[in-house]
Amino acid sequence: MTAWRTWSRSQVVCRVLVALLPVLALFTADVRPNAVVLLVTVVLSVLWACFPELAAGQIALLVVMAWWALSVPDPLQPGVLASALALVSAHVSAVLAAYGPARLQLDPRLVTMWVRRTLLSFVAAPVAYAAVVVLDDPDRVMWPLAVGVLAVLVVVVGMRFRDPSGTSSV
Amino acid sequence: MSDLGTGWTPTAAAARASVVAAAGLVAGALTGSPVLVVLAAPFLVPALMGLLGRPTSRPRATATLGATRLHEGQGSASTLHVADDDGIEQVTRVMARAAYVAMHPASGAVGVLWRDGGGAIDLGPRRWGRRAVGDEQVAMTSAWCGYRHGPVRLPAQQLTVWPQAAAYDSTAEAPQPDGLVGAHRSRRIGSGTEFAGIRPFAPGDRLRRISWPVSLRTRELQVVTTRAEQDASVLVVVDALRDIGVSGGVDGRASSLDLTVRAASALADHHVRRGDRVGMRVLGPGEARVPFGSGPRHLHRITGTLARVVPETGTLHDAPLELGVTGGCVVYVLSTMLHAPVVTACATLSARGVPVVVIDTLGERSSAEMGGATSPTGLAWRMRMIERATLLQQLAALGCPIVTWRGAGTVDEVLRQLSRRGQVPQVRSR
Repeated sequence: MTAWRTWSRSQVVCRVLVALLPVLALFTADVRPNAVVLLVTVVLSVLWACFPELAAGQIALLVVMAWWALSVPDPLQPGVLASALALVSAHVSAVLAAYGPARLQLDPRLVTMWVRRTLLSFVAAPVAYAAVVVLDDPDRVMWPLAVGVLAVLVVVVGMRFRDPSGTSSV
Repeated sequence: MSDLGTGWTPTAAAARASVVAAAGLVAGALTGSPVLVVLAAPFLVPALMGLLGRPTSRPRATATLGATRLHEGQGSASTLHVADDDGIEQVTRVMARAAYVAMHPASGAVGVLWRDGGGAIDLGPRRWGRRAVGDEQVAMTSAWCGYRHGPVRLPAQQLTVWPQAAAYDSTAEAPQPDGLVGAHRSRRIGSGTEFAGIRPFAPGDRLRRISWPVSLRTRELQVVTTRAEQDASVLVVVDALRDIGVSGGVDGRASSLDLTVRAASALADHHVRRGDRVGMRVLGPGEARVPFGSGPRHLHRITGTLARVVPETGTLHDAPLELGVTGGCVVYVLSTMLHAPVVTACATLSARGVPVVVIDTLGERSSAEMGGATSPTGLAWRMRMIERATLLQQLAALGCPIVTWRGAGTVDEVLRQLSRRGQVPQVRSR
């Protein structure tokens, strides 16, 4: 059971982030999560950190999102943006951790590229937040339209960052 | 060359981003929960960018070593080449560790952006021998980690590691030079430059050999005689029957076979550079013979044979060893002297008048290395050492010199003694 000693420092950092960020996303709300939700999130996050390609990751993310939707009385608070950043950062940390075995030292240029991608991805959250706050009227039919427009915008922006060889420079 | 026939498959990261984005947006739209849209929106970007960027290429990966023949301590690099690399954003290489091969990075794993180069892995063999290196798994991912190609296995390649050419030099001459031309002073009179004596002129003598001062004094023609200069035959016997101790590589502790092989390489290198004819005999697994020869190509053959010595325990027979030694040849026996047939062969050769030098390559072995002073293994080792000391005493009493390998000048004194001994009449057993 000493295999973890061979883990590279960058992999340890990535996996710690994977384990912590979903839990942190629960604590950005102004209400405390109940013990069951907290326990489930911690277990799933730790499992995800150990096996970054496991489906436990998406379950952990969905549990946090469901808790925000069901248990937070006023979910449209600014803290939801911090929660969104934590969730997408956990996802990207898992992407980096899954690039190779735990002994793989991550290339700083690869990490830098993914930090920029994380920030670009996160831009969608404040745009969506602004959209739902502005469109927060009884006619909720506008939401899918807003999300669709947002998705198209994201793709267009993303395609502009692709270099001619087909690899992304973002 | 390995064809990545598995094709591009969506990664778990792309699946996770897609599931979270889709679930969040659909649930948000159906339940009218805006927070789900806000939380799921950032996952849309990696999901769409990853899945839309599916490459159509069929990459074929190969890895090449910069050099396949090296001395221990030298280094080479394994470089990845990919044909049809369109759409590759990142490459991960994970190389299996090989015994006595240092890698940089030490983990043997690199993950780099493909546009920055294939992520070369530096390899440095730390011990002589044949090493299988480069057994690795290669995986490639497309932009935004949407699709993955592989991992595919690239087979290992053979790396021949020659023993390090230890610093060795000797000023002693061979005791029985028997060749035609060379650097050693012969006991025979010939056309060299070393003064041997003056004798009366005889028909056939060259006029330039006449010593005019002596001829005037003695009133008859006298000529100067010189010693011939000849090359020597050197046979290096490598005892590879056992490897005692643990090898720490070129910078660490040396096992007995490390000492033997490096010493043999140094001796062969020295004598070939002096123009002598060198042969070699390897005793043990992968037994090999190299006939007498000279020149750089022959030295290359000898070091190549040394690199093929197998550090494994072979079957030992008590049958007498026939080393195939001819007269007029100096024999270096590099051995731990733990095996009776080797000791007997040395004693027999010495009794025949063949100049034999035993070079003890057992080295300093601590009791801890042999299992501890009070352990059964340690006790057995001490008993074996007592037997060995007795055998070496008996061998020395027969006139066979035994020296411990210590690099430069190891055999100088014993070769001088053998040269002096060779000039006096001897009784030889046949």
